[in-house]
Amino acid sequence: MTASHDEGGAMAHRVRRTASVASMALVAGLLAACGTTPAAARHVVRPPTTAAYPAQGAAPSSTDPLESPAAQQAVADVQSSLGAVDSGLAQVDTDLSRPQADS
Amino acid sequence: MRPVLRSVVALPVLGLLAVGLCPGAALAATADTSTTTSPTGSTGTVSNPFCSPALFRAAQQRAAQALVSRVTQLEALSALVEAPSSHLSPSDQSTLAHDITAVELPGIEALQPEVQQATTCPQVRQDAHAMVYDYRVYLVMTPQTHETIVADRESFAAGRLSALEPTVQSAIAWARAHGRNVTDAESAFGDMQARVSSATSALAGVAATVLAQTPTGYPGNAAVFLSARTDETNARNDLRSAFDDLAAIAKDIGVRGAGTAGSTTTTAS
Repeated sequence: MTASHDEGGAMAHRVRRTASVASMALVAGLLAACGTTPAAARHVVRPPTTAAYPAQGAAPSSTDPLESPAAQQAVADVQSSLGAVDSGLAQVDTDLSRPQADS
Repeated sequence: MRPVLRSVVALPVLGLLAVGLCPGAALAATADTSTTTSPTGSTGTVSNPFCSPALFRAAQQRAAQALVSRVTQLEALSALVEAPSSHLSPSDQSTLAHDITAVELPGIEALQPEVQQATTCPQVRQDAHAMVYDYRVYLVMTPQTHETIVADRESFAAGRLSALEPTVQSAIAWARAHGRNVTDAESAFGDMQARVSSATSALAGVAATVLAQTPTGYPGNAAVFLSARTDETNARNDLRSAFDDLAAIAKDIGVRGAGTAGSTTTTAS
């Protein structure tokens, strides 16, 4: 095994680790929104993205579609919307429990 | 001051009933309390003891404060309606913005100088009656705004989840193609689709129905707001479940894929 090969392997390893951490953070956030504990989320590992295999030159089509920026944005939109809905419904409860004399 | 007398005077000082914040008292707005004739026609009794000449200033101030509170509330509602994060549909946003800023707010603000310039209890009472019955800031405009925003936010979330369905389907196919067992993911995906569909059905027509309510429709339309809240709560539960399904799919694919991906990358490096 040549030195340059070792170097490339080490770099690929670092890239994979970075991608793995980012993927875990994504899923941890996703699961946290669903009430899953962070401890459980730490055991979840997303499928690697193409960024994890730069040396292989994997085509974008081989990427997990849920990893796409558009999908991640959609998930974030849903998550934030549901949070706002919860607070909105709490506000509605307050509105509807207001005494009639306070009209 | 004797307790009974104190309790009788306490409310009038607050001016709550004096200025017609209570619908019952507001109904008396048309009565001329400068006389000593009671609503029942008997004499010798002040028709509304809560707005006597001695308490007029307190009643006037209470009315003025109530108007200020309503202006503040309407401005807060307006800010919510204008906020992009409310995800209101353009037509719903336009309707609410018009009702708040072109009807309710100017109407309430027009009453402010009238109350300040009032010199008699009947005048204050008439303005208070209009403040309550003509505008219903708290019992109609407020839940109307909040419920419309909730309904549109939920519709937005349902739309996002629905738009994600092909992507989720592709992700499952992608995982299957990479040798993963996607049985659970497929099951969760089926539930996700059903939940989104159910939420969309629950929300059908909710915003339009809520927006159709008017101040004069109260208290009859209180049931409409309660019904809308039930629909919105059901939709929220469905959307939460759909989002849980989405998380389960991601977890399922990820957990099952980790080993495969790891062995693949180990070989590759």
